[in-house]
Amino acid sequence: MTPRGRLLFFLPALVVLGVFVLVPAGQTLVGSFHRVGPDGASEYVGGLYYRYAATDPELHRAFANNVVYFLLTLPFEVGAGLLLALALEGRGRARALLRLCFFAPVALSMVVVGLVFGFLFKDGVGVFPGLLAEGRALLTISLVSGWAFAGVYMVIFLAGLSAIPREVEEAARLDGAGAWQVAWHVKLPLLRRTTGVALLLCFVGAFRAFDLFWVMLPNQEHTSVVATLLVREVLQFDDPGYGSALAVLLSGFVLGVLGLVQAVRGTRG
Amino acid sequence: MAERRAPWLTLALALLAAVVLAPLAWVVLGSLKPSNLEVFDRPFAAPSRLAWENYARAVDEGHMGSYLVNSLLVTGLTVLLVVVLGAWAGHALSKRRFPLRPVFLALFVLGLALPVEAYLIHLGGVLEALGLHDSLWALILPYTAQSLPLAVLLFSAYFTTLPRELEEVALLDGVSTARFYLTILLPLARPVVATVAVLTALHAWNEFLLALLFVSDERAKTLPVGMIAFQQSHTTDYPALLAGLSLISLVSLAGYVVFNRQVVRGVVEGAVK
Repeated sequence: MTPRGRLLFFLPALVVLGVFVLVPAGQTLVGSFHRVGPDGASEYVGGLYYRYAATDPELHRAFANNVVYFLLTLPFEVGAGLLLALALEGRGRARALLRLCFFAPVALSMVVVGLVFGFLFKDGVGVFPGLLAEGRALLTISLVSGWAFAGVYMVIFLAGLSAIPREVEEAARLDGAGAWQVAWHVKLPLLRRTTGVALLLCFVGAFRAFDLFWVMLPNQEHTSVVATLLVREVLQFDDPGYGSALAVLLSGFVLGVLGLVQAVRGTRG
Repeated sequence: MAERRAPWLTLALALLAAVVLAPLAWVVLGSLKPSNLEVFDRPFAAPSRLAWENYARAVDEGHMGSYLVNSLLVTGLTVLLVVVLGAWAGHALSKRRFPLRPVFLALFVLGLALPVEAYLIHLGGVLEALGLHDSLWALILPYTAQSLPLAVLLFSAYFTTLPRELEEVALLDGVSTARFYLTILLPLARPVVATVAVLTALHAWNEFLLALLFVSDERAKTLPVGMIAFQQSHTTDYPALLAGLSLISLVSLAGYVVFNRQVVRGVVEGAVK
């Protein structure tokens, strides 16, 4: 196998990634420092849009919503997933069937999930009206998100649990520990790595959130998150400058936190 | 140990599972009701008659059939591209002496970590410049780009664990580079192929944001955006909308039940790596 042949088969993946992700990401970074006028001419404006972002109350509210959404989805997704995993680990037909049920929403598009619950909670005609009103919508959407994703975290924790040797649990049982004590004092500490992964996934998911908010709260200005704010900006205005700045801020924040976690993990070995 | 679990726990979990599945049951129930009134006034009552015509409306007026074909095409082609290109690139990057290896690895890690918001604004311009706007390729290629980083990293990690002899034997037999990549590499990586295919398929099948922004032509819409379009054109025809939703859900859940093992494994490996 020649090195040249290897390079030839390596390139297509790099080209696709470059053209459809890296180049437009670079353009977004550059575009956040430029203003496009009505005549299509682009002009350098420095940190104008970032200064605007720093004082944009709508953006601050949206970002705060992302933070609250993260804190709410933690128990509804990760917490519920952990409890389900602890309750459903092990053999048995009934348990396998229940696992199948709880994990099933993973197959559904968030659009389907959003529409189903949107109908159920619709003001006026819905079965449980009023749940998407301002002030309640964030909690409601977090619960729906928990409905959709708790099964994913359950599966992740189940994988972590299956890596714990049986002897550990048996030894604790022989010492007289009950099921809850074993779960809390023995299994949970051993699941530290898995829990870290789950927290990270939940964090990234919360700050990338878009589909549920867009579908469940159509044409509503309240309860925006950064991504819905950004898409509205893109769809409404011809000048991509401010949208680009929002994109850079959001991406920078997510990448920054991921990098920080990676660095901390590295120093801990 | 777990076999001694109390029966009340199993019962409570079964109840919880019923609650979790209730919204979907409500959708199927409502999709068979002849009027809006029945859907919302008596939400949990059985339909007065089975209104199968709702499904006919969802398919005829809601174009569910064409959206389904598009979703299948987009998902199938994206999976094919990601598996093949991912395995090729992953194999190259598994070689320590591959030129600029750390740089390329860093680029794929960056691609993995970048949220879609980072590039969606200017992706439209790229698609337009390439003449892909409003075609299925406007989704297939970006989805491929989104799924490739994890695929490349998974394949690369897997190939580093394979003994070198495997390749050397193939080469001694006089296999050309092209034949090696085209016919030998993928069977060699079978365990990773399943994981990558599952994760890619889930993403391509369910993706909404890019499809919302870059496909406005009715003929190129996939199920998620198509369903939204149907909802906007039939805002008050709830039985037909519920029929559309239950069609999509049933197809998705059928796929999930058939590939359950692979889906569980894929999601776990995708998350943990």
